[in-house]
Amino acid sequence: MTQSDTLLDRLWASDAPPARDPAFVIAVMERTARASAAREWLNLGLATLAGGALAWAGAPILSDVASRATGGLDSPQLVMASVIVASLAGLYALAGGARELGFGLRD
Amino acid sequence: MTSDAEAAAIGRARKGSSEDFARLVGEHQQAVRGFLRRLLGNHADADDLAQEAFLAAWRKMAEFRGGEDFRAWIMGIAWRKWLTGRRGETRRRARETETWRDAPTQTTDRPDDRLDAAALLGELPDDQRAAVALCLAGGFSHGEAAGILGLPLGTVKSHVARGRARLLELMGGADDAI
Repeated sequence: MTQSDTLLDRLWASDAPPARDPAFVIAVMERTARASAAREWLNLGLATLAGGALAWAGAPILSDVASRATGGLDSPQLVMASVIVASLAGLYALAGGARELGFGLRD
Repeated sequence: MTSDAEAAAIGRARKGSSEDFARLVGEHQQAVRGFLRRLLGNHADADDLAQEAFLAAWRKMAEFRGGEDFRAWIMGIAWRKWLTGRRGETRRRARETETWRDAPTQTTDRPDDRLDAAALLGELPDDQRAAVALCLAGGFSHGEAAGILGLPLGTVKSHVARGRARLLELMGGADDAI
């Protein structure tokens, strides 16, 4: 190693970050978690809106189907709404939302 | 981390394992932050940009091709992040200039050395500084640096040679490697 190399090495060493920095790693992982959560909530919101719009558009048909399917129950719309919400939640969980929200269904 | 262990961690991170991605961040943070510190001359801004680069890498993990060098890949992301910031924000550019001037006032264990590094590197043009930071400080080959910076190999070699000579000149020493 020449004297110039030694001089430059000293310069780089003076400006080098630590080899191990858990605080930096945690800061990065916090940002990734926040970004993932924001994206998942956005997806969930969009899915809810889309589901709601579909349910609204298909309400006459769904209502008729629900009346036949639930027979003597007083509120078939409530049953259908529950089915729709459960379906959306299932789809969301399958799409990865459950992991992001910490439900532990995938890991 | 061995290359096998890293390849395994990359594979799991691509499938969404945040624990493995955290290992990769820990393994490569020094190189990325060092590179950006030498480009920006400001530790806080460099570390913030490094976090953004790792966040972008996390989002793009699925695009990472096996066999590619992960460190070179993340350095390329960091470089493009820096370029985007430089092109988009003239105000930030002005602040960076101030940063070079303000370097002596920053807290550090070795204030005199920090002053030297910030002031000396600030004397080099951007591309030259980046090539020097990658090849001389970061240990990348000229070819790897050319890939990261998106510059022709000959240009990188020229930047490194001129940057080295200029730095040594500024430090008061002749280049005895020639």
